[in-house]
Amino acid sequence: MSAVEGIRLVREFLFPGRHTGTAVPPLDGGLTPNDALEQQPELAEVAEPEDVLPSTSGLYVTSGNNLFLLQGRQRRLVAELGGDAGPLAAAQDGRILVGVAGIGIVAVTTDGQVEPLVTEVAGDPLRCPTAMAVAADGTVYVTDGSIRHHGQDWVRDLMERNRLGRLVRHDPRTGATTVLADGLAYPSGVTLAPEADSLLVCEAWAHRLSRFALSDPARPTVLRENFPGYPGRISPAANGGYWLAVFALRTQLVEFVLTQRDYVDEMMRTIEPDYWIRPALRGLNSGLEPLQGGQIRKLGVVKPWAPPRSYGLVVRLDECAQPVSSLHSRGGGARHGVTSVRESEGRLLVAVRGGDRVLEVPA
Amino acid sequence: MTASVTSRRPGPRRPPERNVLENETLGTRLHYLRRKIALQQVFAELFEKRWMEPAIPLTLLVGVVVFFSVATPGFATPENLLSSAAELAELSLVCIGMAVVMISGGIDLSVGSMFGLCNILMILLITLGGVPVPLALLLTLFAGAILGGVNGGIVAYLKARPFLTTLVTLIVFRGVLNLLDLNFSAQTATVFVLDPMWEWLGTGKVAGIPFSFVTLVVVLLIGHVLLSRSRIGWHITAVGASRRAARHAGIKVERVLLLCYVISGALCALAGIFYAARLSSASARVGEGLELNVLTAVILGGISLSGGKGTVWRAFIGAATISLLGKGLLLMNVGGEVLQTALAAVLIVAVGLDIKWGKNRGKAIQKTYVNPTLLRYRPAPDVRRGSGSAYEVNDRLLGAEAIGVGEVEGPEDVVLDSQGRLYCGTRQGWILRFSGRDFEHKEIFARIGGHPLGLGFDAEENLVVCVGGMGLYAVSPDGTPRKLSDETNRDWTRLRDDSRLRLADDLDITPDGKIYFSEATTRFGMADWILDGIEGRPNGRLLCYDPATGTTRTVIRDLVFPNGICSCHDGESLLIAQTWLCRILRYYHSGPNKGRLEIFMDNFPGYLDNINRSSDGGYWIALNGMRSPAYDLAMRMPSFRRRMMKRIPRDEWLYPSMNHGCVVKVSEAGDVLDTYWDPGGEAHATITSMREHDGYLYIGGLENNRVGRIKLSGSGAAQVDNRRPQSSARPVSVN
Repeated sequence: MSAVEGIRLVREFLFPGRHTGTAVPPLDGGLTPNDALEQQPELAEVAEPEDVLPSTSGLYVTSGNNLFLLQGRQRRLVAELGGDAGPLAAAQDGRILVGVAGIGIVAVTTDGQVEPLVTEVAGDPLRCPTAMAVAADGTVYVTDGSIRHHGQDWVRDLMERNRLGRLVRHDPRTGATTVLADGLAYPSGVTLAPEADSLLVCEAWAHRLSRFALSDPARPTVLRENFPGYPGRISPAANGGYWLAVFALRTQLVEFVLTQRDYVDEMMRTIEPDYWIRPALRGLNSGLEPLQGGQIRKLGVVKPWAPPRSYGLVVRLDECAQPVSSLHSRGGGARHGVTSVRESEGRLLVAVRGGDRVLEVPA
Repeated sequence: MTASVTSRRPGPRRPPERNVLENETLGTRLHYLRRKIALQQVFAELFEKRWMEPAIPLTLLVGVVVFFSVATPGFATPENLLSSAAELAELSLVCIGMAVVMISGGIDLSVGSMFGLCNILMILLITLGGVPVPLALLLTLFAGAILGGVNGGIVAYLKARPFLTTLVTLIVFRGVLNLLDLNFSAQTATVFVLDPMWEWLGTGKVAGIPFSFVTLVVVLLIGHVLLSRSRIGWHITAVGASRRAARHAGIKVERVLLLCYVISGALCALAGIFYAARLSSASARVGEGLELNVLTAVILGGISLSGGKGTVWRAFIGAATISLLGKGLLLMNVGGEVLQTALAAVLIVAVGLDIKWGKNRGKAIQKTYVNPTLLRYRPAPDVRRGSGSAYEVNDRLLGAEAIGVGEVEGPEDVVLDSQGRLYCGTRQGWILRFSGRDFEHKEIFARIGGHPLGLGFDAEENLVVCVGGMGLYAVSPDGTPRKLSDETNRDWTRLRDDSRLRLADDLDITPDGKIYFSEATTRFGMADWILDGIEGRPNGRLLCYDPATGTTRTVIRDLVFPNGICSCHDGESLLIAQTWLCRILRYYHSGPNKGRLEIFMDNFPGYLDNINRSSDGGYWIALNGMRSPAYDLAMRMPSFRRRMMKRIPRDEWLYPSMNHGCVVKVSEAGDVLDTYWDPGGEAHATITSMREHDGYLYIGGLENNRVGRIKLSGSGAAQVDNRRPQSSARPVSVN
């Protein structure tokens, strides 16, 4: 036991309940569990859909290294991108912006021409684009999750408890790219506030949602903190408020393990990431995965309240970022790992990465 | 498969397992040694003892004795101790009386007055009354009992409050005492009693110890037996703990209360007699304020004011502390006012500590009871598809027929009788029997009470069953259960009494009819198996029940979670599955290798459960779950597991991967022949048992809701005798 941990234990003994970090708030209020996500109609089966973007010509979906366009029952491969394709955004010039892990932001025309747009910022390569938002004047705001890890390695970033993320602005007219804020704990979602004077940014590892005023991005205000899950992409809702994709829930075991550095170091050194104690986007249903007490299958059933290694959660936030309602896929369910949710024309498009599906939820 | 140990020492064997891999460095070995020692566990088990309850008062008493022995030269001398002993005896007797009343939920403030009254009564009787000493003694004791009876009668039958009642009788008795003193004490001073017995009562010694102290010891012993071992003692405690519950339980509360006060009065009289014999002082001031000293002593001893708790020893410890403290301070020439203050200070501190101790003892035990140790596994065999290992995952159990879906809950073991009927235990404490062509007919064969685990048939077709939490039982063919054994010889190297069976797990019957069975852990109950897993210590044992003598003895102790037991085909040895070690031991109970203990197979990719013979001379082994790399790592980090237990709730703990079990078939030589997996674990998540019968393999699991069966192909289709192995070396095929 290190000295730091010893001091922490003494502090915990003297002031019980004062310590933060391992207390995961319960799912209640607008987050009260249900099985709604399990029951929603599916639009298409896509292997590991990462982000969805509705457009006039159809629905763009990133999956693996590819950008697809779904038109009714048809699926067209628009472009292959050479890296894990992540966030999507519609640029002002009609091209589709795609964040590609390890490469940066690329612009894709409707006929499949790929052109790199942003590959580095402030001397560091932009390798972990996690979300994008495009302002009315065409300015692109990008969250760069981490300057160390990208793509599937996000879990390493969590385990290392890094705060290496950045908020980046790209002006397509001048081509200038600037860092608005750095030192963020894996920023994983960004959207513009309705007044277009500020950005809402999710920080996954800090479990919070902050507002960055465009006039003063160095001093963000925290809108909502201590989410019971890891907030991911966020997008505006039609009637005000926002839709938030929570890609995994925090569990007490993971929160505890994160504080046990000797265990984490050894785990990262000797075990494959699939079998770590970690949040995941899908269950592998393998005995090699760590099992928690509540996850034991009893009489053929995994209890819905089982501590979730993976979980499906879409949250509706009001204008103050307070959760008002939510769609869940719980323990024993299949639609886990929601990476994106967007509202368009009275319907909700949900990318369920862990469940290999795109859902269309009537709003 | 080499390490073997032979020993000529009689008594239970210990297995060759320190679980240190070969060729380890000295540092690693020391590391293991450090993890093997469990001081915390010793403390936890020590504090769990009932006799550790008065630890704080006892420590204080020892502290007082040591302090004054060092600080005051005159304290530790024989003369001083002897004179103290006589005084102490009188105080202690009164304290015991008070303690009995307090345990019954009352209080007796009149002890001082009774003491004084009996003192003067005794003197009057033998001086002015001229009554012979033995008769006077009896009369005084009787008088004391009557005085107590007055208290008791008022409290018990008139339902008066003990505090007020005894406060009033304190004044009344003191008044009588004053009257007697006024009228007669002057006359007593002129009479000298020359009775040798009277002399002896006051100054006599038995083996150098004052007679009064010897009497005290006798009273203590009788009091202890009476309070803790007799019906009346239990009644007193019950009345003190909850009067209403005691009444509902049929205890005659009034009579018990009356008796308590009578005892108190009689003991005061006894103390008064000794005081009279020692000092012959017929003063009215005798025993004034004694009730406060006595109350202090009893509370200091840790007897609860609210009743229902306490022993005579605690009363004695309190009295001794008060008495020696007073004596010691006196010897140090401390003034009376300082003495009072010191007494008060000591009392407050001691009582405060004792209350804390009594309140938190259970919590302290709970926090220190589980002591994870270091377990290091070799890298697990790769079970993933395409890995090419012998344990590779396959789909063989996916098509298993289901028997009794939703009707069985937790069939830990399954067994079939000679008519092909299927038996399994359930978590409701039943043994179910399925019969018919497709096992469509279900009936409750027997109701046991605990969770039936391992099953087996003996030669008379009795179903022998290990019942978690209860022991070894046999169910006759008509369904009547009978206890075979629920205890074995105690292991005297362990602090806690482990003679009772806590978790009998699996059994097999050897050709000579002896029933060998495993007790998975002696430290945890059925519901807490995970605590034993987290601990990973050798807490289990192999036992043998001999039907001929009806006795059970421990064959091997200190086994890490022995689970499945299987009598080998040679009829001379047993296989013992050790769940947390993923290792199978082979133990020779007879034959030329008798006493030999060796490792049969090691480093399974999962946690072992039951073992059974197969029809073709091999063995079926159930793995109830897989080893996950994260859990393997946790087993290498004991303090991580300890912190995990403390910091997060049990449902969140990292568990062994119990959702993915399988069945492994191995040869007599210990080579893996086949595996049967249910990859998703949908139907057979945990697999704790399997049984081959008539070409089929039947599968049970502790958390499953069905019994599965699959048809075995080819060589597996032979008949296996589930009852006993053949004595010949080769198995016999019937088909």
